[in-house]
Amino acid sequence: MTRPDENPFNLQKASNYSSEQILGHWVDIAAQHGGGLVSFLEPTSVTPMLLLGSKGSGKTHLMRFCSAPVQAARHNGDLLKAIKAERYVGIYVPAEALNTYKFSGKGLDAEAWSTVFSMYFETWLTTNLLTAVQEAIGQRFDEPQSQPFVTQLRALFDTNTTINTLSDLLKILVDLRKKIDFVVNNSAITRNISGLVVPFSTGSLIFGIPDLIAETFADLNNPLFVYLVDELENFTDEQQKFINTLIRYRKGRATIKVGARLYGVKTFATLGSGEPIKEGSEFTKVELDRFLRDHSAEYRSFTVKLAVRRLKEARLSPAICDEASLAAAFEELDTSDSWGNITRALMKSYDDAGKERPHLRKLRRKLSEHNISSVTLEKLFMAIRVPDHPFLEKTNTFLFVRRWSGKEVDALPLAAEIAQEAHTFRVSGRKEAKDYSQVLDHFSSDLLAQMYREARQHLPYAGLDALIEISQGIPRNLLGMLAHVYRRALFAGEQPFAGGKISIASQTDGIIEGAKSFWSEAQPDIGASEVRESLEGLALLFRSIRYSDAPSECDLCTFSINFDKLTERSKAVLRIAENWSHVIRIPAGAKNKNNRSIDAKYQFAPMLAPLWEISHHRRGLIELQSELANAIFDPDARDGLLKLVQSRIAVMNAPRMWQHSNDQITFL
Amino acid sequence: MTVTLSPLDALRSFVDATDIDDVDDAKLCSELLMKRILVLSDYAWEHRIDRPAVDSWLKNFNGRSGLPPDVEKLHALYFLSQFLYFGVREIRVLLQALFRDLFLIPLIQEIRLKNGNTRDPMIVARELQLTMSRTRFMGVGNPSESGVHLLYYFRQENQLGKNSFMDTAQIFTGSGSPRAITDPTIERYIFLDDVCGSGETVSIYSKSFLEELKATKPDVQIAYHCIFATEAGLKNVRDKTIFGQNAKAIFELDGSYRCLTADSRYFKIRPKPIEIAHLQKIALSYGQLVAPGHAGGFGDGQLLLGFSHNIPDNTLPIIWRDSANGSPIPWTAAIRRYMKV
Repeated sequence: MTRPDENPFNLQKASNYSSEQILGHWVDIAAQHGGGLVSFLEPTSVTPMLLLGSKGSGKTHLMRFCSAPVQAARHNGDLLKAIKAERYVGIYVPAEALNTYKFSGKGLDAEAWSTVFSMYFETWLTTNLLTAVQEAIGQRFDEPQSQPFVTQLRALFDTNTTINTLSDLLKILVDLRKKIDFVVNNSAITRNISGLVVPFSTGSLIFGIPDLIAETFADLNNPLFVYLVDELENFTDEQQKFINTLIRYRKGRATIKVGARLYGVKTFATLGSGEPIKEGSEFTKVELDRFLRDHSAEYRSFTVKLAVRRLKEARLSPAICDEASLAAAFEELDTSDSWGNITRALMKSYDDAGKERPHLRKLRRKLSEHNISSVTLEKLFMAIRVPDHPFLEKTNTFLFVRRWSGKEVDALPLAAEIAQEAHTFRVSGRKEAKDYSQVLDHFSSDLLAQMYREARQHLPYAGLDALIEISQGIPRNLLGMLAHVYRRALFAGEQPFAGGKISIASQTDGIIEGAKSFWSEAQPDIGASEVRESLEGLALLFRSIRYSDAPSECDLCTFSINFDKLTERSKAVLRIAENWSHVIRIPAGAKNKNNRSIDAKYQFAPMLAPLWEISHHRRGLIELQSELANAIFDPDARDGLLKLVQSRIAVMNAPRMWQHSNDQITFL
Repeated sequence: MTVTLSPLDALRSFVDATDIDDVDDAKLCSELLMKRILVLSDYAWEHRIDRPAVDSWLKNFNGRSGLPPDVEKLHALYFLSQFLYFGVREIRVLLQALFRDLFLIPLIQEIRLKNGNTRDPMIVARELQLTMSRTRFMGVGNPSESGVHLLYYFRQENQLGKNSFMDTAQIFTGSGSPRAITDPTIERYIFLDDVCGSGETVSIYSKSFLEELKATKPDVQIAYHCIFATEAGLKNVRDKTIFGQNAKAIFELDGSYRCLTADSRYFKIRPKPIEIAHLQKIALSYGQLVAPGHAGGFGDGQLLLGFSHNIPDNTLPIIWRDSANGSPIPWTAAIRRYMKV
């Protein structure tokens, strides 16, 4: 039984898991989707792959799942059986283990380091390959082989060797690696690496040995040897060029699949000519979190399984075994009666104290500022008030603000018209009050958010759907939020996932904490403060629109932008924000309203939306003109930010909007 | 002086000011304090308190100080959010420090001095071993009290043998007057304690038999080592007991740790709605109800301090007292103190 202080959703990096834990924690997407996540990596395809994903998207877990030790664990410890069944053998190498940073500087030129790194990396990959082969073929690894084998093996080297067996080869390569380590580690003192000799040509071992093994051992003549190189972001530009060169010159029965963060690829250039590798013909590129985001049903089922697996391991509640039982653990917002129940509860303290509800008070203030007479004002309020349904009352105030011409003479007829629509909606249903229903369809979540803000309450986030949607296709985000929700619920004296429902308050607090963790952890190495400030500027623009009197868009969190008209600094900041998943690029883009071009389209990260209580649903879209966009994304162009935002929302706020012709506002 | 806001600050002010008629500082403050308590409970207080327990405790504050109940609750929450708690892990580390800083290092310095400032580790080790064999550690109070309770952890953390410890009843043998010392080879008696509040307990304790011990064996060294001590309490022990300057503490709580005095550290930086006068009024009004005559804690300690094994009675009684351990009115403790019966 899990102790309360052992949070079942505490995060661990897949790189720290043992093979058994990798297997134990493995959760797949629906098998009908082309065979699950493993097929996503295409381990039986010879085409090299660049597997991209945000932090926590599951890259490492997937790559390690395809590595030889976990393959063996899937087949009762029998690697040979696993290789036969799965038709590949995965050789996993994380960059972290290589200490890539040591192959640079120390007064030596980049070309020399590139050569040493290439030799070291190939040696490293090959020793890992041989270790896997050793496990698969057992004692045959040490046995002398035929003369042709020995001849071919020796031919892979540019120097004379006395290698007779695979174990000889492994020993020589391990010794070579140690020698390189020794010379490189001491080069900071000696400023010299001349003791090293390169005994083979680039690629000869990692592509040559798999072919030789396949030709020699009948039970290994079928599989593809897949080098799984993880954490590409930790390689320098020059080191990445070497990886790219391996991708270009891949041959035979071996291939290479490279895992990297979204921002991890520094160059596509190769060594020598520098000509870049080409996506499509030389390698495929896939983004794990984009895939999961774009396949929401699969992601949903995947994350549910992930959470259920954690709860099962924690032995909290055997009853939680599927989506329905998991969803039932969370209290949901009561949407019945068009948000009637929850808004009555929200307004209770005002009603009990005999205080005017905040949305009415706000409207009263704005009408007074517009110099409407008190007689008209009171009559107007009489018409639009709905004492037993605060949400419809709020909708009425919203409609009045939007539709009113600003002329006092129009006020009471309009109020009567709105009141009639509201009455029809309540009495006769949606079909009979189409305009009113349409407003609710579009703006209900924004109006609800406004009511919470006006009542100085946190906007509630609740339910499994909200958690999944906010996690933006990144499993770690979901687990992180669940961990915070669990903590909050425990502190609140609830019994999370152990029979009790998790309150809306605990969920809201947990999700906000999860958002804060994401915000503080997803920090670019370069330009972090610029990106943070830009994102906040963008969030404040969305916030000022959402909480305006007449938002131009509902559930606004998406923007389009003409990338070509941005300053170089804006472009750079936006790219970093995208790479760190602070904004999500929508591949289809958006049509520019003024010309036929397609602008870039981005969604503000759902994970960050709760920090500013803006929408995490992707519905409304605004086009950011270049001046405003540069004020947001370019610190050098930020001086006019406030005025540009004020100008943008001027027609969305009373009483100023009533001073303009109301023709420009869509009549609803 | 004109303050120019950065473009982003200007936007922040504009957006957050829009149509919020009045900001409820008290509500924001209450949320902030509750969040602080959540984090403390999670990471420092060993889950000793949860939200229902906090809510139950807050129900005690119902306007009896003359302030509105909401104001009382907010200020009570502030006291709780400032509570200084030391869990088992922290106490164990402090016991290492107690041994190392108050006993071992001074002893090594003493040995070196006695041997011509020697740096010879052999000499130091030999003398140290000899001195240790002639030293006994004891807890202040009877075997059921917290000072003695610490001995087990103290022995474990400092890897000491059982022979280094004894019960106070073992100091003397026989019943005559003056009594004979059981083991005349013992040269040092070190009395350990968790906290010294007013110093009164130690003062009474020392009079009971330590003066007799000193009279019987004038060259014996008697020391009082505690983890926490108030400045005033430690002064009392030094001035009024046989321990004299051999009374020492690891963590000396100066006057700023008294939570109701004008220069209290708890008053220096506080959220906007928290008023010093309200804090004092609430603590003393309710303190008088739950612990008549000791509204600020025993000896008017005014502490906000507790340990995993108990809460000192010098801590504000509104935090720890309840009906079961002496409150004359019904009262729910935030964190209970286990009383001496």
